[in-house]
Amino acid sequence: MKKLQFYHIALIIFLCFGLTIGISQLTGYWATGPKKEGTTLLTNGAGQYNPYDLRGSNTIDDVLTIFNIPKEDFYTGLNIPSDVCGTTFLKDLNSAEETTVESTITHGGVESVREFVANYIGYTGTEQEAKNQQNATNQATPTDQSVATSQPVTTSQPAYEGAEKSVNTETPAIDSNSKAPNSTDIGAKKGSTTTQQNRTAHDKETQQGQQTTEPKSQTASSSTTPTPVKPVEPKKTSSENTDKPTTATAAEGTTKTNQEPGAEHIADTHNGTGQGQQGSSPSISTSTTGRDPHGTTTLAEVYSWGITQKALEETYHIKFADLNLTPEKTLRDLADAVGVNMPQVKQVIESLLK
Amino acid sequence: MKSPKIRYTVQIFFLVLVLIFAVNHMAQEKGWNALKILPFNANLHALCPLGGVETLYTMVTNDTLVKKVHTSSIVLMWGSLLLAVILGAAFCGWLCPFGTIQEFLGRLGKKLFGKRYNRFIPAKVGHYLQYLRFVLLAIILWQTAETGKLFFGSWDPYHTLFAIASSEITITALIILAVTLLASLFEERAWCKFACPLGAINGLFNKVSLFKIRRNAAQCIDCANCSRQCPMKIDVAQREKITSTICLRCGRCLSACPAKSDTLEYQIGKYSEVK
Repeated sequence: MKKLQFYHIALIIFLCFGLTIGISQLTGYWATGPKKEGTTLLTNGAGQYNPYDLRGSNTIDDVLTIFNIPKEDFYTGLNIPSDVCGTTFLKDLNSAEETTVESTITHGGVESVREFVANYIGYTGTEQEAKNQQNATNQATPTDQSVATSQPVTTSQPAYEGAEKSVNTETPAIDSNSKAPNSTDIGAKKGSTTTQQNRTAHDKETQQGQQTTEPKSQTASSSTTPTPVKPVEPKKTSSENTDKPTTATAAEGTTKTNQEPGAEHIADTHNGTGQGQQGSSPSISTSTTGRDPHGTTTLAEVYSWGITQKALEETYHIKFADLNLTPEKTLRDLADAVGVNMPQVKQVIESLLK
Repeated sequence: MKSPKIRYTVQIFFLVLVLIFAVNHMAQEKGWNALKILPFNANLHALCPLGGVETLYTMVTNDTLVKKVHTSSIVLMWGSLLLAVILGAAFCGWLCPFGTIQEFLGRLGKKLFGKRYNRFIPAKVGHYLQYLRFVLLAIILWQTAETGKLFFGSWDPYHTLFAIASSEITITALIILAVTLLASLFEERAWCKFACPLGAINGLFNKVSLFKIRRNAAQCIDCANCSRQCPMKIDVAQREKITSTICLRCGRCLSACPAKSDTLEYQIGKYSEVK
């Protein structure tokens, strides 16, 4: 018959938790936050982004740009005061009871936004399907991912909310108006890549590994980690999206060409999202091995590819000197100065490279 | 008699620990650098073993975690289960910070209401109400499995209390917290008794734990001090071993026993019959 004193009990308690925590830390299993940075907004087969993958760490701007929802509609639909700025996190919106959307919204903040966006865009996938898809892609190995080119890459990490990382912000902002010259390009994510998977998938698509832009990773803003960029834009296009017919990449198996423009567009537009992108700008683009124009590619680099300033001036009928487009400026700056969007600039660069 | 000071020390230790994490997380969110005590960040969901239980289904079926739950919750769940196998629901009585807060409020209630404290709900009613914990546990697990989200997170009073400055807190959660804390003034550990899903799980292990609270009837002087002291209103004086699912293994009965040692003990094995 063995009996315990109180100090024995205390010791057993500390041992039980100390051992389990200690072992898990040694094995690397212990994590109190998201392991991987960034999740993607998955698309369903119709090329729509998944509103149910929005997180509390996304901002209003993210939602507006990714889903191409006019600000007025969004604010009105969720009864958000007009003075709430676009960089507000979704989790800070506590207005379930205020929402005017006729749906089954019963929660505030992110839940309301998800439901609203799903209703607004007519999202064809159900939340469960989206979840299943997320799970399926999470389980896929990198090689699997590379094959499923039409699958938006996602992190293999279980869905969780990493509020402190505010990852998702990076999702492609399809916002051609975005003026964040320093924001990283989609491709640019240092290390963000949610995943190798993204790169692999992308590489496979491109076959050259050049389009690293598409590493669908969105550059995370400085504060958080990059999120993988979503593949193609949603079917629902606004005037902004248009460069290429994006849609159903899945259906087409997403050729590189299909994706690029869309992706680029996304990448490009993405910049703006609220998360203080700037800090992270060491854009990837500049580190690419090939001639891969990104929003953050400098003019100096373009010149090193053999494209002259004169050629660009003639193309756009501008004078770089007048617009203060020095070699340190980026293609994004050029796009802004000229008043076109990034995919168009990229097209021009690519055509000049040929 | 066994001094309860050791238990109080352990309780305060874990309460302070969770507070530090909570403040640190809040500081991280709000950008209050001066309050960032820890070099890493952990939200409260990551520090609750219940999260591990809630995510078991999705982990087994989909190999994913429910949103907002991290692997730390699973580790803590295993730690809690290991403790439960050895000591029963000692997590509740010795560790849970929310239980500690309720106990503190209970002392205030005792001062306010004296002998009426912890007597507002009749024993029989309380006996049936305690099964509400299992009903809630089932609902939580079912809904979490269905939705893949932390269903309980939006009204968990533990999370609400320690993340009260966070933007995630809903009005419903605040109301539940307020009611729980208020109830603690009238009924000791009201949440633990009637609603805690984690307590429901831990309580089940009281039936099979290695160590149990046992009473030596032959040596017992039948003063019933143990029954009076029990916060969960278990009639300790009438039982030979305490396997009630509602027992917190707090040891207050042990501290209250005036008889010599080996009368009421936390032990493994039975007392031999002494004639």
